[in-house]
Amino acid sequence: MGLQITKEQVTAMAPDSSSAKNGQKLSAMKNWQNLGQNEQALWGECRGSAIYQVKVDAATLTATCSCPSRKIPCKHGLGLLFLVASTPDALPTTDPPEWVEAWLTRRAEAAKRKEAAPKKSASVPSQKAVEKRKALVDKGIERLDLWLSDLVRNGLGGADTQPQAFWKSVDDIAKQMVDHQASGLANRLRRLTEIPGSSPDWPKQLLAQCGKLALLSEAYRNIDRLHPALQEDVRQLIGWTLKEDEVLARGEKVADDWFFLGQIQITADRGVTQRTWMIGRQTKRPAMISQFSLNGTAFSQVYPTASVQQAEVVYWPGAAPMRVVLASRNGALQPLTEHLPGTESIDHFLGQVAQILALQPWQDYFLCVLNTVIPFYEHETGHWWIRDAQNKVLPLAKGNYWSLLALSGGYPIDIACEWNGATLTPLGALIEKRYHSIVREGV
Amino acid sequence: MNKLITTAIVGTGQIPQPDITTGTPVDTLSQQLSGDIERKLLLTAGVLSNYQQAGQKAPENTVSFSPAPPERLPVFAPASSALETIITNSQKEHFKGLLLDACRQLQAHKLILPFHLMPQVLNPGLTHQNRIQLRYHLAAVLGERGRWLSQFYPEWSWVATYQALHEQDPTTLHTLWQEEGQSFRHEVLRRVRAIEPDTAREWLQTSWNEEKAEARALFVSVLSDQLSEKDLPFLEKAFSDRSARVCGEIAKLLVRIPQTAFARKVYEQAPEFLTIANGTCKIHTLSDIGEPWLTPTKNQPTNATVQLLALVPPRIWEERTGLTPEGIINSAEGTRTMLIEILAAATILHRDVRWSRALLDRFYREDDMDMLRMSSEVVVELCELIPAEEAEAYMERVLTARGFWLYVLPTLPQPWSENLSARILDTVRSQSTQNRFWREQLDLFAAGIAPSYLAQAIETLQQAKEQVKEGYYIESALEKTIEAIQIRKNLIEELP
Repeated sequence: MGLQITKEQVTAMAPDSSSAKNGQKLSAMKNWQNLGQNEQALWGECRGSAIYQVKVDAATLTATCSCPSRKIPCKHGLGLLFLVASTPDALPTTDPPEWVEAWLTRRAEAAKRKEAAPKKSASVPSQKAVEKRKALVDKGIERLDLWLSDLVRNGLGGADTQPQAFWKSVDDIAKQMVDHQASGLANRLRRLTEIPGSSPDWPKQLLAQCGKLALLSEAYRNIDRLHPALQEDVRQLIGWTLKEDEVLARGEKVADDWFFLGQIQITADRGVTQRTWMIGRQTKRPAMISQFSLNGTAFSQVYPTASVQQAEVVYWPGAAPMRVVLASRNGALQPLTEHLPGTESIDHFLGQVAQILALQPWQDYFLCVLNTVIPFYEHETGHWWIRDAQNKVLPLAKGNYWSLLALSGGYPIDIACEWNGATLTPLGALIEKRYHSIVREGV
Repeated sequence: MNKLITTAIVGTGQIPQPDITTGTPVDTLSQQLSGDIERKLLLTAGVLSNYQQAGQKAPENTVSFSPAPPERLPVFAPASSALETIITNSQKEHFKGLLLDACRQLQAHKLILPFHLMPQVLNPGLTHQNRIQLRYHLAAVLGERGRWLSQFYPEWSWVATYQALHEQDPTTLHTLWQEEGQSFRHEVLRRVRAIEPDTAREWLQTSWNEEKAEARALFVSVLSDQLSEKDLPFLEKAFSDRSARVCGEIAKLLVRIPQTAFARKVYEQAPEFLTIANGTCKIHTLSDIGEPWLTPTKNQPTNATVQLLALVPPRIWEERTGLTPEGIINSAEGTRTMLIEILAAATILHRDVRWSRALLDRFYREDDMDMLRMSSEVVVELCELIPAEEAEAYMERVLTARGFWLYVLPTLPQPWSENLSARILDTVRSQSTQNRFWREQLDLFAAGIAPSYLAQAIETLQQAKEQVKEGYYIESALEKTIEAIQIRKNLIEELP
């Protein structure tokens, strides 16, 4: 059986809507020649202004094309994937032509070289550099604490009555945190500006977030008294980022069949952060891959949602590890058709959240996989809910979910969401053995 | 938390002795804190936030609702996104008519729309030039799930209403007739008239006095289908209506039943207004026609005369003058446009096939400028009176005459026949540089071309696109049309 992929998945891989549209246009058979696939790859030659040779790695769906486009994947790569999605039989299983064979050989050799290369020990900065940075961060923490104290001394009400002054003040302190190499704190501070006026209980939320910042600075000041795993979290939250090789060297490795459940994209000042949520079939462990795209550039990796793949992930060190790096992808991508490894009880899920918070109090987002729950809409209030068999409910994030309701038809479904402590943002739902990505609707 | 929030909002600097207790076990921790009050407040708030988040309990909701009933027809499970593309783009000009076509295709194959696409067609933002027709066909493919879904949003209540039309349950239809808006009631009455003519008339008779004039005129025209002597008592009574418009509609019905007093009167009176002597036709505009509902006005003195003469079956003029239709058409002097208008309207009203042929023959003569003034709607109505093959032969003649078909094509029912589609594509090939043609008619192609000619249409338009030397607009319009045709083709190929 060749690669199984849906149009929905391919669309989600496109770097922008115009690429998706152009890719779709190129998916007509008449644009292609010398199509084929084997276990490792799929390929074809696209007839455009010239003939472009397109190859796609079957395990990672990484597309490579001879065209000059800098987009990843380019429209030709997307075109080939759209073609596979719409007409799976269009690519015969055959021996690869020379140009694909050469590409596969190069990739195999590169992989072998990487494997054979002596493992680089995770780069360790000099003691002097560490001391210098620590001093800088310490200074930053002092400024943050001062700013927080000033904020509550003068009253949070100012955030509502003088919003511009508040935004400027937050922006200034966030910039100072960047200058003091505490970018994690800067990001948390910038999120404060979204709170005033966002809901009736915004003062409570603003105070809670300021309180969590204070807790973080307090934890950092007393880091030696914390459990080593939590020390890792605190350092990362402040802004001591880990490089991928460090994660690979120190993190917990977990091999499983990973369900790619969906993605959340958050637009920030300079780019877009993407969180790809996964869950392991056997381990039932949640995992999240975070990617950042700067100024509209493509994300470096493609993770097609609604798929299952055998892979090994490595968790970022921490007290309640969630973020992972995908170390190796070992099998072909398969469509997600089976029961999601979740829980049937909302109370049970909230209990899991409590356990995570007990270990890592600054965790903001959680994967919520619920089985046999019913989505419904309350017309009187305009609210959307998920209800379990015990009639316990959790609200869905602001927006409309008519497609979800239409798909469920009022029957129990399996659903994957991201929980932010207040609302669920649906990622996808498994209905009649088909996983549907759920998009929040405007109407 | 309230005290804590209040203190934080006002500011610790504004409160002499701020109270930061929370009434929770968090207070035990905060009592151990040292440092200034601001720091204590912040740390207390941070811990309390975690305490509350960790102890969060989900509320209960026991509102009951039934799940959707099982479908009676299979759900269409397309492999490609053609149907979704048609729905998403249904507001775009070059996709005009494709949603209606898709619904008809699914309906013909006894299939239900995929569930996840239903909200898009239910949305109140969806507009269409023929909303009743579109909703009627949508209702057929929305199935049980669509009806279930529509209960959650008041603006979607039309689904149940239109589905009742398909079910043709007499009780439901009667409720709809009593409760719905004017245009929908017209649709209900039309459908009931087709299956139970007497019932439709009885419904109308019962509500007649309560209807507004506009509604009376609209509803009574429904009786033109399956008109019979059984309708006479009602029509003759209703003919005394105060509204000239209502009387005009009733007159069109009465005149079709020759034994009515009104028909006899019109046939006898007609020669007073139109005389043909020595091959010359004259229309006389009189100040008093003798019908209270037909009073000539100062601004349009001839209207009443034209309206009356349009009620006279064209064969009457043949009988009275001994002339052929051709001879009568040629007899007008100075009033030829008016005569053609009268004859065409009368031909359509009395469904006279012979006269339809005569008028169409003249219409397609390129040199007859008076005939060209006939509206495209009238031409199409005349074509509908003759057999389809014959009508298409006329269309072919139109297509060969440059420019003529621009007027006719928008009024033709879609999709066009294979023969007409082939001829249209031939014309495209021969007139590929006619800018006006591209601009004005391309939007009709996607839904108009017969299914078996879609591949050829794509090829033809591709060739035309390659020949376009200048004009981004034309090139772009061609590209969009090709895309829309391709999508329709994909959908049709996917159907079982």
